[in-house]
Amino acid sequence: MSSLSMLLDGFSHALAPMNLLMAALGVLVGTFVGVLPGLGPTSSIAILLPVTAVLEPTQAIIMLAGIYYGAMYGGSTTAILLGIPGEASSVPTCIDGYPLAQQGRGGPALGIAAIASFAAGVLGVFGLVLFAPVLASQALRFGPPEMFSVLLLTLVITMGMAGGRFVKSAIMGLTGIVLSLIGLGANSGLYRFTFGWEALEGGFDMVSILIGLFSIAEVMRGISEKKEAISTGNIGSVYPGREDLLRSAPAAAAGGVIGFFMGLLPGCSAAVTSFMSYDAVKRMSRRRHLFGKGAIEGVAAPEAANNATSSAGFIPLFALGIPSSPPLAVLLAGLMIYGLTPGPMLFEQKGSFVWTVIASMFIGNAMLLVLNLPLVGLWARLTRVPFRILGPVILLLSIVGAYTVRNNLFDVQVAVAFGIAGYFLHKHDWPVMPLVLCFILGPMLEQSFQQSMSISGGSLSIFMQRGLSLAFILAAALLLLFSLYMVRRTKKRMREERGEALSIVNTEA
Amino acid sequence: MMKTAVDRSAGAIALFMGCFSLREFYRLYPQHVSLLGGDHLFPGILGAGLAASGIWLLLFPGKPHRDGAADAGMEPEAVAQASDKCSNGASAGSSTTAATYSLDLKAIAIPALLLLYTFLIRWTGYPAGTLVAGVLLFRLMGTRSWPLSVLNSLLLTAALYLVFAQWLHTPLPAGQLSALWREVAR
Repeated sequence: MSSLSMLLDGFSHALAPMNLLMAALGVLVGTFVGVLPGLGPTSSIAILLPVTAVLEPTQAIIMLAGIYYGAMYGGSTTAILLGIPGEASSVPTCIDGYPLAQQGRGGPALGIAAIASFAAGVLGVFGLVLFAPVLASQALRFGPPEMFSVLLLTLVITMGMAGGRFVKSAIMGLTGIVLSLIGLGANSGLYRFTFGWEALEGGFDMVSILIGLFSIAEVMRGISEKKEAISTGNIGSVYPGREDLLRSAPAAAAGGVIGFFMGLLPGCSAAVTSFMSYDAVKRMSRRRHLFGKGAIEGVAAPEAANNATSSAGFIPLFALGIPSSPPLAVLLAGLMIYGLTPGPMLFEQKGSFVWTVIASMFIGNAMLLVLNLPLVGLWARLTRVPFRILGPVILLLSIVGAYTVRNNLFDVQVAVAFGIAGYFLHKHDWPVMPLVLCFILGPMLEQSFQQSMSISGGSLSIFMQRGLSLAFILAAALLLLFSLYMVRRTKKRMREERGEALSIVNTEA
Repeated sequence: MMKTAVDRSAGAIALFMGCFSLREFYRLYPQHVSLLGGDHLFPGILGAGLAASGIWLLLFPGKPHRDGAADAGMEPEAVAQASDKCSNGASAGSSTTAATYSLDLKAIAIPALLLLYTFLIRWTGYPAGTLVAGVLLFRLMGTRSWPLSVLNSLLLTAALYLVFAQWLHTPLPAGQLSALWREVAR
């Protein structure tokens, strides 16, 4: 039987009333839990896994997939409306989503996020249906040297995102990696950067840093700016208009493609692909000067990449049994609990079950759109809640969220410390994105480099000898040169413009 | 002048962190597998990078005037438009000019209060600690009436407890005082 006919067969099972109900329930619960800071898709699935134990295997997996997609979308709701990215993959959404909410356009931003997520999710599932066996075998060619090179490319992209502030970006990025190295060293078994302080031995948790840099710092800024509400203007239409849709379509397509193909690679998480797609769309856009100030494309691209990566991750998971991200690792555990062992034989041995799950992903994505679009107006009204009420709610929700990740009060203190740091960094115009991204990538970067050195016997030439790795390194070098050229050109033009303006003023005077 | 001083301070901090990182490199180097293999390598590279960037910032701090357009990575055409706006009296990108707001004592009081909360909750446990912190936060952020602050805080504490502890079964701090109270009651 061909993939298509098997998929249709899967649909006939997935469209059973109970399965539909489970998909809807999963999406709703996932969205709600995803909204809570500190609880991303990984913890959502882990927490709700026992809840699914009473269900049949197919229903349980359908519900878990719904929770996964729902939690991914839920994270973007708070990122857009409150400027709180509950997880790293929502950080790029926050860059433009929050300014849009401040301008009273939170509704359209949420609508675009839902539509882009849906479109990219469907694209990802199509890719899963059509190319799973081929792409899975190609993904295996992606070893540590290729991983290191692609991470290097992402780091260069980060520098580009900060505009002309290269030295500041470098300091922030290097600091991010240093912070990520705190804890036990993988090779020597010795603690690094702990200075004998026991609390540091477990390292910093990413959620605490995100909560500090974004939520706490944002509330501090709100207080010092005497903010009445996130958006004081008229909310206007809560749904995206034709212009928004037209502007977002290419961005969502680009984000979807980047998210899907990068998402196939083990270790390439949604955080990496959402940053990559944001930067790619920013570079391609004619309206790049609006990015960071409320460009709707800046919401569509990372959201699409986020969801496409989630779908693409199922390819190595189903075909090879390799979870490419932490939530998928928990999902893998779920699959195994229900007697499903992913691997090359899965499609042959449990074909009906697998195709039902794939069909339910289509349904889950559609449910996400159907259930969330009517709620957009309700969510958008959150931005009108007086800041004197919303501020304490954000703070206490963030604090409890930071605590629940590891049930550790030290993480809360870390969040507060990063809140102070975030406030002053923003005040003095230092970019925080390089710090966040480098903190996420640091351990992966070091691990892939050390593994490459083990393979090559300590020779750096391994990065040049492998085609894919070389291509990524060349792309990184070209991108770096291009960024430097653009900054130089812009600064030169600025000087010329200022000079002309001054000379006109002087002449008139 | 302000920007120069801030950049110099940041440069000094980066240099300081770089030295710390290099110290870790020195400490971990004896455990190395090879020159490029081992836990020492990244602290070494990062330390050198931070120290070099710090020295650069100390020697060449940013100009007091902010080059906003270049920061945003703007195209020359967009820069020209921005310059037009500036010459017309409008301030381009004024919404993103972060350094315009003044340091407020209230803003600094927030992290202080949150830190106090993390110490308080160890003793009192989640319900009492959160209730007290909530009341103070509502007052600090502009709720004028004490009873309303208490009511808001009570509702928020209960809602968070319901979601995290009851529904998601996340353990919240019980507090040493409540444990002591249970012992006494027993």
